[in-house]
Amino acid sequence: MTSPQPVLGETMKVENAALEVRDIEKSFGAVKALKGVRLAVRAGEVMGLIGDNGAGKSTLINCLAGIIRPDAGRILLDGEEVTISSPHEARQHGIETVHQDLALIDTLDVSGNLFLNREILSGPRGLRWMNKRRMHREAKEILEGLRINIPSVRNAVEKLSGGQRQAVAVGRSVAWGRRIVLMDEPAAALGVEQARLVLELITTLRDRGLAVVLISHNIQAVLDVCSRAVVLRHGEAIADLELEGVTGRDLVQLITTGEMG
Amino acid sequence: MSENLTPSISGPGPASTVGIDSGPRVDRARAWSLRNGIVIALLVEVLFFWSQSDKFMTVDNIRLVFLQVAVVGIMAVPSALLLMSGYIDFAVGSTLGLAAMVLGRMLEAETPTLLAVAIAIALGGATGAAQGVLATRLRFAPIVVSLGFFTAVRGFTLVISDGDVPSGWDRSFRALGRNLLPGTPIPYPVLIAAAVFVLGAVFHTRTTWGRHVMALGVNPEAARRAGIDLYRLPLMLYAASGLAAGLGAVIAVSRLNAAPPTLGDGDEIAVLSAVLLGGVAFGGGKGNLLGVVAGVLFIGVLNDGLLLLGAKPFWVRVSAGLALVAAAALDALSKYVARRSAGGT
Repeated sequence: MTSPQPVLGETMKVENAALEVRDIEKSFGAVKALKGVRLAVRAGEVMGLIGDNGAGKSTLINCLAGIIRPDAGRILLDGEEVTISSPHEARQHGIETVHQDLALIDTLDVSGNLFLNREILSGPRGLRWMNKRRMHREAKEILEGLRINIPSVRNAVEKLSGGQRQAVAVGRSVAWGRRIVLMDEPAAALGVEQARLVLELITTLRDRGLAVVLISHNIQAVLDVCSRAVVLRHGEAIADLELEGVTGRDLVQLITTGEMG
Repeated sequence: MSENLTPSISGPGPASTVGIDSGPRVDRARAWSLRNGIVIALLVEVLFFWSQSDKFMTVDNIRLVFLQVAVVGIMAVPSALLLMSGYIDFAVGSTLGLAAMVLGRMLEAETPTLLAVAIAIALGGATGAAQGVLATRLRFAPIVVSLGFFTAVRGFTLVISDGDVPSGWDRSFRALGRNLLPGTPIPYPVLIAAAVFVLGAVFHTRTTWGRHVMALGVNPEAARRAGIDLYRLPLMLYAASGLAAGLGAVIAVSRLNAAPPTLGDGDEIAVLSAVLLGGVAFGGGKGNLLGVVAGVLFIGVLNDGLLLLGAKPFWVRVSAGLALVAAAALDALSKYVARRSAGGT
């Protein structure tokens, strides 16, 4: 791939895709948010999903996370068609999501958020209680394993700084993601240093063999961690390109004009 | 798995962590007193009435206070949990009245006592569940649904009563509401209320349900994204609230040996005051049942103390309303203090 040639209007052939999306459509009233989007991600790959505001990036992610249901189209995991009709089902398929607004329970402590709806239980069948001590211990281990530094897992997340909250949200998806992790602006509102650390967590996921989809307005971040990018424009995937040799200017031009110089 | 990486995310530099680490003990003490201001208020209240009346601190009077708040206390447990999850049952008093009326009619007709009691409690549960279905699955505004039930259920009770007060059945039914646990000074209703509180506290703090109730109250969208069913738990709690009202009806009818159609009138205010005074936030997501116990006792002691000091019974209604306003004041105060202490960082 010496001269990068974007495949406009059609998706690059991807062998052994961990996640494949075919002709996804979604309308909100008269607004067509997604008009038949196709894309595919391999295991061990970080794919950038870029586009202007309103291009349909978050809508697509929400379809994959089970938060909204697409009107048409198919979703395939490791080649097998699946329906994802709730966040619960997405989880069962091994899909984790980091949302723009983090989706944390402010009054709950760090370990409670890490283990939300995955609480560790003890006791005999039919009479199970939460094992808070074990959750605290394992939460600490998870965060330490990721080199995420939180003063105490017993702190309510509302007491944490913005960067720490983000770390908890990202850490949760990193800890639980088994196949696919979707990240919607995971480094937005972060300082330079913390943003870099989130990107490093993303490469950790990649090295573990997960497929990662990264939504970001930060073109440099996309160029740094992604090997491929899909450009959405007005609800359509207008380009799908390997990023080697591609410049930030190329991407910006694609996003804004739909063409590449 | 990530030996080659050294990401270490610890907030924006060392400066920000100071806010968390500075004087955790002072912070915790302040947080505790904010959360449990009602406990302190209860102590002050008890000391006040104790100093004003020598009849206050007697076994008989203390037992009376507990006995009089038992029914409100039983209903306050599911009400508190429901409020924590972001919903409200304002019809507990009316539900109690309906269950009591139906129970009275059945006892009058010499229905077997156990059967009548079971039907009364089940009727309460069904009323709560009906309200719950409308407020959760059908997404009607919970407060509006609840006000509707508050009025309609009471009205229906009056219809069934047709102006008379069922009473005068077998005396053995009076034992439940009046007798003491053999060998102790504890009346059965107080024992039942204590059991309900323990059950509620275990549910709240030890089970995932309790945790998810809080999650729903704090951030329903985040809870949904974590795969938590938005409506299942609130619906269960509405049913539990109705069951508690049914149980309250059984105790109240037994104590009174009659089922007046106005039974439970005003209980919704007492329950709501107790729950809010106990530190449960009106919008949900905050509170603990220990605070609710204190809230219930605060109201019981207030009513009892006022009567001991010679106030006319009508004042009880005034004090109930003022307690509710005081709960709002307490909530505003705690928010104000929280905002100030958060603004510092």
